[in-house]
Amino acid sequence: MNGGPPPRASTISSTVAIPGSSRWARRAFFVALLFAGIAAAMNVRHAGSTWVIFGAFAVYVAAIALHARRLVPAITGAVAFALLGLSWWVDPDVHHAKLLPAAALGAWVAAWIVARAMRRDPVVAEIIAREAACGVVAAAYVGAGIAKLAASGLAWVTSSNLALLAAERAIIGPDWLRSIRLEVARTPWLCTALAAASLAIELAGVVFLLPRARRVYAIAAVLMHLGVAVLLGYVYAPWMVLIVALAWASVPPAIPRRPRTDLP
Amino acid sequence: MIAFVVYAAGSWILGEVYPFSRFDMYASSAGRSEGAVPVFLVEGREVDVTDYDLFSGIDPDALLPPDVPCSMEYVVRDAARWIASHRKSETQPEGPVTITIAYRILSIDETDGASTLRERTRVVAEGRAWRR
Repeated sequence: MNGGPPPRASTISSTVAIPGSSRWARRAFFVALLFAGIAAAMNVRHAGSTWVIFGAFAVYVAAIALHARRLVPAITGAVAFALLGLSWWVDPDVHHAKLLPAAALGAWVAAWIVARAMRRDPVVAEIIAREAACGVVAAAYVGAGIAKLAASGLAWVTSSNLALLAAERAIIGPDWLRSIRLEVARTPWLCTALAAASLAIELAGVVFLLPRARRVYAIAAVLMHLGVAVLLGYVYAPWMVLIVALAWASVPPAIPRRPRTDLP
Repeated sequence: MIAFVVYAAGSWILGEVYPFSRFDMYASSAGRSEGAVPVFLVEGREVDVTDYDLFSGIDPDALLPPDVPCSMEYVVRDAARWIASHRKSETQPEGPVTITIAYRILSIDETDGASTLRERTRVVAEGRAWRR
């Protein structure tokens, strides 16, 4: 042992703790859920359920911010998930804007509980939970693309569909926005190109399963949502915040390893 | 991957059952040749329907356009909900304002690579209300 390199056990064991960047990313993910929850709650027409949802997310994020261990994040997350479901029952109109964060949250909580029940390491459980949330996001985008193809095939791209959608919204909103929508509606090739691009981005959602592709896909998806916001007036802020947070939270996983004892 | 498969399969089988959804936003809007945009008019001027209450003479369940697709049905549903919850009682006087619920029917005429937007108006309901 004399003269040899120092034991690396301490270096290796440091990967068992959540590294700084990962901890920041974990917080970013839950802050994103908070924003998503606030934005979602604003869509609820019943003030009571709005404040219940807001409170649930606040407790949930506080538990994370305070480094709550063990079951607290899972319990508060499950409560938030259940309350979001309750808001569906109270307010039967479907609000897709708030559904994706709720579904991702549910997947995160369920995966975390299952992983811990299987006695997986807390760090590994967190990675599994995050991957489950990413899986739900990927499924949502792919599902949206398939739904369009199933309903009308390529007519969604090739018809004057997007032009009509934009023209309908050119009657509402400030003048500058109306003029943009009208110009787009009057340019058939642009409408076809934009519709094709959005359909392609949705169908490509499956690449969000790949951690290395997540940031590129998130940028494409955010651009699509911004286009939808300008042309159609639907601001899917929770989706944008969620997909960006999940993409940037996907740092290389710190898989805990047993400290090596065979080092010289 | 498991979450992807579970959510995709669940959404396809169950449809709009929390937390599943097919996210079929605008999926059914393709192939149409016209679109209806709801407008609320008082004396020919566009207004916000929530600026009025104590409605009479308007059936909130009959506000959707009968035969033209409308991609803004949520606006109509919101208005119908508002009107239903702010109806005039039998003892209250009829409002002084005539409120008209109409649709601007839009169509796009594509010729030679350029699009022309055509528009006509169809009234679906008319009643009385008070300004709040």
